[in-house]
Amino acid sequence: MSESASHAAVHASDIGRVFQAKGGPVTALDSIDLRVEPGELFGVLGPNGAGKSTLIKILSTLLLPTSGAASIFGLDVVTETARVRRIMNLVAGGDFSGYGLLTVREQLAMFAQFYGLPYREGIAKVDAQLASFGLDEIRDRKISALSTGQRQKLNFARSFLNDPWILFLDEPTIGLDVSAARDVRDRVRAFQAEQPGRTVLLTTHYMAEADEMCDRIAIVNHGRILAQGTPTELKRMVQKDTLFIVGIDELPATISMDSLRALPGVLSVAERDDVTDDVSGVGTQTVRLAVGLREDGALGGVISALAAGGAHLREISKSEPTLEEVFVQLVGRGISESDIAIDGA
Amino acid sequence: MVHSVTTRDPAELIGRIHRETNWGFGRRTRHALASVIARAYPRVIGAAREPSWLFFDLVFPILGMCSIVFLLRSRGVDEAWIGSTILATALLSFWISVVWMMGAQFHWERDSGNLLLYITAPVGLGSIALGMAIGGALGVVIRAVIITLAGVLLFGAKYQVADPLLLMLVIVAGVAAMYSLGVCLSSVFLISGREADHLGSLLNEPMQLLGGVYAPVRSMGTVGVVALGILPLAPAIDALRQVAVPQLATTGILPVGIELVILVVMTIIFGVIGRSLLSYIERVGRSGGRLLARAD
Ligand SMILES: Nc1ncnc2c1ncn2[C@@H]1O[C@H](COP(=O)(O)OP(=O)(O)O)[C@@H](O)[C@H]1O
Ligand SMILES: [Mg+2]
Repeated sequence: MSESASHAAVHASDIGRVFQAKGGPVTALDSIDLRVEPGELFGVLGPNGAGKSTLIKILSTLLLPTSGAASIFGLDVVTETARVRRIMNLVAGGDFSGYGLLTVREQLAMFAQFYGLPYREGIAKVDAQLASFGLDEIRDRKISALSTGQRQKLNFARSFLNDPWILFLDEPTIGLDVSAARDVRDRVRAFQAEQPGRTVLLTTHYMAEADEMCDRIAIVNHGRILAQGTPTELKRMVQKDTLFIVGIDELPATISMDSLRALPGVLSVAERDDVTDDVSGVGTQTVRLAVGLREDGALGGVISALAAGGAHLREISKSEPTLEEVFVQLVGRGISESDIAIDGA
Repeated sequence: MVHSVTTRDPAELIGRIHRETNWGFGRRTRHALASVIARAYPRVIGAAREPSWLFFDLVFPILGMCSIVFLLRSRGVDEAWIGSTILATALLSFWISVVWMMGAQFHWERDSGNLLLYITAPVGLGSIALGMAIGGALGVVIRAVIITLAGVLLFGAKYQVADPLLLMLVIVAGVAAMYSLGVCLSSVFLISGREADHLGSLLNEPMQLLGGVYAPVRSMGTVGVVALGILPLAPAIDALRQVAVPQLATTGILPVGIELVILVVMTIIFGVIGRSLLSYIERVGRSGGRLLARAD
């Protein structure tokens, strides 16, 4: 293994996974190359059936790749499984693990033992996690009496017990309400902030979750990585320049579109066809210009030119591309559309 | 995007992680033992926390025991056999827990998502299985004691134990052999998947017969001898009868000492088979991708 590969938190090279299913072989992963740096929160974003869980299973030693190699902090996931398991943890969405008749506290204490913590230290960790997840009040409640949200918090509390250097989260907020999902995301960030080097690999099919949480994202579909980068980098792919929408009452006769295009830093100007009728009854409309700029600063020149020509400014907004648009451009359809297509297949 | 990535030297971090993952023999042993106890715990307190389970687990065996005792009495069979039937019923409650609870355990653990967490934790499946077995056996002890007491109170059975140590040895060896087989069953049920449920019912009734609950194995000829060689219940009951009911000491198919050896050998053999089945589960689960995955 190369020096640089051994310093990565996650290093996967040319990972493939073929399942032997009843209807013939299914290629779940096809030549995945991935590198996650220590301390990153890395997201794997893709529709249902893209291969996200398969990738997490391989990296977390649950499944063998059929080709390629992967390591976690330089430890091979195929041959050094015992050591990998000592520094990792895993939360899968919709997980209903545990023993119904144990209390919340007993259940965590049991797992602390499985993770190899000395008894006293384990109990102290359990109590600290209960407090930090706000589960103190229900510490003596039986697992079978918990709500879905409480169970998922419990799963997270469990996954933090051994202070994992790498935490795998497979669709962790699935089934959680908005506030519970936010809580969980905050706890994940706090967990990483506590100790530099703690790394999180998360899969999701929620665009907003990936966008909001992740340092970097890999977009996967049909077992392949289509693009990876920071959310900003990915959005740049669909929109290389900054785009502003400038709304005015009307385009002054003295100003032509070409003269606007000639202004410094301006790349493109186009009239948008979404002209809205004025509902206030004054008898005016809003004309919207889509102004493409090399950088934000060039907007000033455009505004001054329009104002000098006598136009009245109605609105200015920056048009931000979304990861959804990135996905659509890469895959040719929306992430939720492809969900349906796969589910129905 | 708020936190900063890598504020430490990667080489230093990797060095630290590699040291942390290097567990010595002492640490690994302590971890394995602690895990066995941790896994046994829910099985032991389960019995205490859910008294209704205890009730149902007792009602049917005791009813079954009563019907056999009445049958034996109506035929004018020697009272000594009644004492023997009670002991057999008590031992049988271990066997029932092996077939029903242990047998289905890994299957259930998989579908509840526990198995996945065990595999990805540093704990070995061997520790999990051992904890499951020890916890299961301890959980049944109360049941077995209550059944015996009920038999004594209801039917006035009398026992005479000349050698309490030998009695303990027979019970412990019998239970150990049964639960050792239980680990194998649990693995086999997981591997064979859905058929497991049928397998369970298939095993229970005939095995009670073969195990000599109703009639001494000796009266079953060749079949009985085979049962003695495979099923832990048979030598355990046969030995227990000889040790605890002196009038029946001569009804044993083999001397107690030999039966004891058979039970110990069974424990070891089933233990070895169980261990390799567990490694098989992990190996095939990781390569095939089905065995460890929840059926959903
Ligand atoms: N054990 C398996 N046997 C056969 N096919 C599988 C198995 N696990 C996953 N697959 C298939 O592999 C593909 C990727 O699945 P998965 O990794 O679960 O996707 P995701 O988590 O992105 O929804 C899907 O087509 C799925 O049907
Ligand atoms: Mg998935």
